[in-house]
Amino acid sequence: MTDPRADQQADRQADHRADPAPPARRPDASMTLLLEVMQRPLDPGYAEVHARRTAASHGSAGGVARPGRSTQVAVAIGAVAAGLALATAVVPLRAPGDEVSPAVALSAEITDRGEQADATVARIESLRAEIDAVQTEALTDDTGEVALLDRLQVASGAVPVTGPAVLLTLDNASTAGDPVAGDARDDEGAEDGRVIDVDLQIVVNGLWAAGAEAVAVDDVRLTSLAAIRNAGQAILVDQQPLQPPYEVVAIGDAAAMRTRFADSAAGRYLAGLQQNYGVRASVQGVDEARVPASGLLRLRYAAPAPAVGDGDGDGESSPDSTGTTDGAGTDAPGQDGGGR
Amino acid sequence: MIAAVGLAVGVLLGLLLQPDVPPAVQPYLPIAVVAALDALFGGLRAVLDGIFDDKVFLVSFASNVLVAAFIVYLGDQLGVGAQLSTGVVVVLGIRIFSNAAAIRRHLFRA
Repeated sequence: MTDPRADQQADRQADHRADPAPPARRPDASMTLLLEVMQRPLDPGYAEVHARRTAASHGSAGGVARPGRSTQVAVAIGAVAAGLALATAVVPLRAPGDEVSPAVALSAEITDRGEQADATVARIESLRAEIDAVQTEALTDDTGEVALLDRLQVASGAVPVTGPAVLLTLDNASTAGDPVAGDARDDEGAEDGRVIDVDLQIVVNGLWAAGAEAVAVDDVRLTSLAAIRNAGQAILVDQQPLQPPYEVVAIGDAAAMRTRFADSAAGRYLAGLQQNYGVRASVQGVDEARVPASGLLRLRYAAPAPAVGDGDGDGESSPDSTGTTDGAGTDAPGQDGGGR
Repeated sequence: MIAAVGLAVGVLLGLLLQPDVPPAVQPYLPIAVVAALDALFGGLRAVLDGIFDDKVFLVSFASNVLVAAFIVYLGDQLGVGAQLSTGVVVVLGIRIFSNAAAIRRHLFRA
């Protein structure tokens, strides 16, 4: 008289009795993943196939079930392919990489980029020459636009210019520390006879005031966009770092400029630098000097203001106005430089 | 046995021919080789356990290599390639170690 329901209940009770103390949690139960990896490292496929084959051989009287011929061929081909792939993968890993030391790589990159920059500058020059040619062609000479353009280009530093010039060389005092060996971030120590940006600014301003029409420092053309400033111990002119001695070339009437410069406050300042700090300076006139064009003449935001038209004497902002344009155009570099 | 002989023949062929590896898959070679080593050690242990099977060995070899390379590729795409590589190497390394230990027990009974 076995009631199925009673049976079930008894079962459940038995389960229940067994349940209250479930098998104690393994202390490493939270690391089943690692356990799985460590305790069952062999592919279970091996055991499975083995078990299947054993079962088959027990079931059928025909001994161990041999795989078919086609399977054997496929396995052989697959094995050769796998071995080939393995060797192929290992060989390049063993090949010594053509390692280059970072210093060599960096210096190569510097040379590389320098060449790229030079090529770009050359391209700028050639494009600029092309623009000039096209401009000259487009402008008719009867309105005097070509002459105006020439003057503006000279004044703005867009073209290289030549002419008589004053050559002024400025160098650190012989007692000044080596600018290369010193800490370039240390901007202390103008008192040890090193030429600083202010010295160069005053000298250049003096040359503008003395009547220079175009000025370059170490072949960097000074334009209305070029600043002379310190960055650590280096002097940047138009963002280009320069090394002493600094050679200032100022195109203009050499004899008159030398006299006026010597008389000016800038000349006295230079003399003071020489006497008090031992800064080495020399001024000489030359008959022919060349000042290069500015490397970077690009206005991002400034646009020409609409012409005023009444000739208020501001030749720069209204180049169309007649009469005053000539004088203003010629004087423009001097006025420009005075505000530097 | 066919698998072992074929593998040896393939390795010799590869060493002799030295085929070029396309640069695109080169980052995955180290991990693929580690996976192949795992399969090799697994196969060796299976031989000693007496349950070696050519087909299982080949399939595990190929899938190991492909899956390992794919995981690293996936990691590279997700930006965690280095971490996933480490994970794969740790898991495969542990397996290789345990298999090597099992092989050692078989050979030296110690």
